[in-house]
Amino acid sequence: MTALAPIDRRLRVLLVVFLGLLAFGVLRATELGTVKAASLRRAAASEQVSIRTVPAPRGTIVDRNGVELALSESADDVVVDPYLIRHPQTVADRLAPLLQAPVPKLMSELTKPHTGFVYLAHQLVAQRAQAIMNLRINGLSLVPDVKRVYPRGTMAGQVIGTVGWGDKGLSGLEYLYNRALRGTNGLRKTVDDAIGQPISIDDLRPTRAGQSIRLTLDSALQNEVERVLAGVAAQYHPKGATAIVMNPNTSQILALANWPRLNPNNLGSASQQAFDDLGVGLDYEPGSTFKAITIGAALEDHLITPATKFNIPPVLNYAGRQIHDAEAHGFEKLTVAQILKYSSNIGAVEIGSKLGPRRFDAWVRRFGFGTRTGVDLPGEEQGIVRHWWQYSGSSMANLPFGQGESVTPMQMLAAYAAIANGGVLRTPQIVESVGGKRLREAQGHRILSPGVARQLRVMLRGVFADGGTASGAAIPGYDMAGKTGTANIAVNGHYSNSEYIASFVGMVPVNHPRLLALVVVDQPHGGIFGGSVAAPAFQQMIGWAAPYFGVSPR
Amino acid sequence: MTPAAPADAKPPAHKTAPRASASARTAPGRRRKLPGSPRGPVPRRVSGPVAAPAVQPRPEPAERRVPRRRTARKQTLSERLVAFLRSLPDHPLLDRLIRGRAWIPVLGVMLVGIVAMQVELLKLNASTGRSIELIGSLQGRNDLLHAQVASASDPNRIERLASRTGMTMPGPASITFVKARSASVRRALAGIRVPNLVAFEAALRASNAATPLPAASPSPTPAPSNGAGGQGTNTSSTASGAQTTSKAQTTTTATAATTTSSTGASTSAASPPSTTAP
Repeated sequence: MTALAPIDRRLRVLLVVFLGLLAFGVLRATELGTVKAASLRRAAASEQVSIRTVPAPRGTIVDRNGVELALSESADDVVVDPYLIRHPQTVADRLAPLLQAPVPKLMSELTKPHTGFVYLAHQLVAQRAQAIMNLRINGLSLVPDVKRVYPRGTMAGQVIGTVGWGDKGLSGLEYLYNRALRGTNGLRKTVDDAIGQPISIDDLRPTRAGQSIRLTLDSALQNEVERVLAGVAAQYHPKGATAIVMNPNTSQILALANWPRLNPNNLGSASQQAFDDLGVGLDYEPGSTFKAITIGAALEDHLITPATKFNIPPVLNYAGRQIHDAEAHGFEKLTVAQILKYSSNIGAVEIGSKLGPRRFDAWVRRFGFGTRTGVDLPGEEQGIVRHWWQYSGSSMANLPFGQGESVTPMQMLAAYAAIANGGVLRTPQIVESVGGKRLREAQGHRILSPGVARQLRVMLRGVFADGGTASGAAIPGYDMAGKTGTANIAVNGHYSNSEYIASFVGMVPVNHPRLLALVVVDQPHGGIFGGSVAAPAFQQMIGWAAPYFGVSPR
Repeated sequence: MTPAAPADAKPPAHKTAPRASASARTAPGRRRKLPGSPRGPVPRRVSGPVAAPAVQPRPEPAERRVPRRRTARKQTLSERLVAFLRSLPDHPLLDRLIRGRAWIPVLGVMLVGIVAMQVELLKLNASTGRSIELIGSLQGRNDLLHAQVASASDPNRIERLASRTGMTMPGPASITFVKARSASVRRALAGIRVPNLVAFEAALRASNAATPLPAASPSPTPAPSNGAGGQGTNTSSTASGAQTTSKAQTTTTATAATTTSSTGASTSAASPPSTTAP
C-alpha cells in the first residue's frame, strides 16, 4: 500500500495535467467552432474552395464536307488584384512582352485604385496564358474563356457572322442560331490542398457544349466564288457585289459570297458596309433578268408561245412614256425567244400588256417577289413590290422589264430555281443540320408547269448564242441558259444615267440544270452591262463549279 | 434460477447461454466470490476460446420443449435472418474474439486501414483533379490543332503555295473535252504510268532555282480536306481545287499537271506546259 502511494500520486498529477490539457483543448475547440467559426469558414472557403465557371465551347460551323468554318478554342482572360501587386513596375516589365502591351498601360492597370479586379487581357491563347502564370506573380490569375476562331478568314464572313462579348452572336448564322451554338456554361467546385493541388472536384452544373451546324455551302466553291468576285471588284470598283450558287433541284445554296469581304477574326478593320449580307439584304431593281418572269407568266396563261411574234418599233410610246431598247434598231418582228435573247424592253412591255396589271401583279407575287424567301439568314429584305391597285398609268410600261420594283438577289435566285427545276418554288436552304439533326427540306409549291419551265430554259439558252447578250460568257462544251440584267439606279425619284446595277443569272445544263448562279454587281465603274460585268464572273464560277460537281458537258 | 457454476467450472458452450452465466464471463480480477464457494487459490482465468463443456448438459426443462417444437416449423427467410442477427452477439466466434487478444491487432489493422484508405482517397482525388485539368488542357490543344488544320487546308493558301512551284489554275476556257471513244480510252489507259518521282523532283528543283522559294515552307503541302474533284468520277487535280469531267478529258496547266484516272493511277508531268490527254 505504501509502495503504491507515490505511483498513485504521480498518476493523479498526470491525470490532472492531462485533464487540464483536455479542458484547454475543449475550450479552444469550442472557441474555434463557435466564436470564430464564421470567419474561419470564410477564410477556408476562400483559400481552398473555389467555384469556377467552366465555359461551354461554342458549337462549330462546318460546310457540307465537314470543313470547319468557325470553331472555338480555349482561351483565358488575365486578371489582376492591384492590392496584391507589391512592385507594379517590375510586374509590368515582366508582363509587357507576354501580353504584347505597352508598359505604361500595364502600369496604370496594375496601380488602379479602389479595386481588386482588373482585366489585363481578354481571350489570350491558352499557351500564352500559361506562360504568364509560370511567372508566379502573386495577385495574377486566369479566368477561363472560349475564343471564337474563323480558320478560313474572310470565307463566307457575312453568312457565318460574328460573335461579340459574352459569347453572344451578333450577325449572320452566329446570331440566328445563337441559342443552339452557345451551349451552357458549367459550374465546378474545386477544393485545393495546402500547396494548391486540387483534392476534390465536383461539377455542380455540367458543361453542355454548343451544337454544331452543318451548312450546305461547299468551301471550295465558296473560295472560288469569292476569288472571282474579288476579281470583279478589282476591275470595276463597285460599291458592292454578291454572288450565289445554288443546286436548283434541292434549293441548297452551295456558295454565297459578298464583296467587300468581312474577316470575323479582325472586325476592327472592317467597314460598316462589309457587315451587310447583300445576298439577302440588297434591294435592287432587277432589270432585264425580270423579263423571264413576265414571259413565264404569259406562257403559263397561254397568252403567248415561244414562237409568237411581236412588232418591235424603235420607240414604244406607252402611257405618255417612251420605251427604248438598249440598242437602237428599226422596226422589226421578234419572237418571244428573240425578245429574251436580245433582251428587248419593248417586247417585254408588249407581253406585259397582254397580261394586264392585275394578272401581272399576281404572277410577280406567285414567283415569290414581295415576300421574304425564308432562307435561314438574318436581315433578309422582302423587296418593294406594289400591288396592282397602286400602279400608276405608266407602271406597266416599265414593270415587265424589271424597273419599278425591287427584289433581293435571293428572291431572284429562288424564282429562277423554279424555272430550272421544272416549276417548283422552294425556300432556299443554307443550313443542312443542327446538332446532327437534318433540317427538313422545303417541299415548295408548283408555280409553273414543267413544260413552260422547259420552254423558258430553252429560250434562255439563246442568251449565250451568237448575238445574245451574254454570248461571250459561254463555256465550251456546256449547254447553258441565262439572262443578263442592267438596271438604272433610282436617285431622288429619277433613274440615274451613270449608276447601274449589273446582274446575270444562269444555269447549267439546260435540260436538267444542276447548278444555278446569280451575280449582282452594284454600281460598277468602267462597265455597266450585265453581259460584260456580271456574265464573265458567272462564266468563271460555273466554269470551275461544273467540272467540280461532275456536271457533264454536252 | 440457474445455480451458479463452481469457480473452476468452465462456462457451458450453449449458443444461448443463461443470463446468470454472464457473471462467469467477467474478468478474473473482478469476479465476485459466491457464497459457499471453496476458499483457497483459485486458478487464474485466462481469456481464450471457450472449452468444451466438462459435463453433459442437463436435459432441458419440459416447458422449453414447447418453443422448440414451435421453432421446428419451417421459418421464413426473414425470420431466419432476424434469428441470426439476434444470435450474433452470442456467436462463439465473436465471443472468442472479444475474450481473446486478437482483437487488438485486428483493431489496429483496421485503424491503419482506415487511415490508409483516407490517404488513398486523397491521392485519388488529387489525381482526378490533375486528370481533369489535363483533359481541359488537351481539349484546348485539340481545338487549337483543329483550327490549324482548318487554316492549313485553306484553298487560297494551297493555291499560293502551288503557284510558287509553277502551278496555276486552268481558266474555264482552257478546259477542253474530247469524245470518249473506245480507242481514246485504250490510248488513255495505255498512257497511264507510274509517275517518275525523280524527274518530277528534278524539274521542281529547277523551277525553284529559277524562282527561289521562301524558306518558310519546308513541310509538304497538305491536301485540301474537301478533296479534289468532289463528286466527279474522273478527277483532274491541280493546285488547290479540282477539275472534273465525266468524259475523257484534257487538262492543261501552265507548267505542271497531274491527272488521276478513275482507277487511281496517276501521271505527272512537269514543265514544259503539257496536255495530259490520250
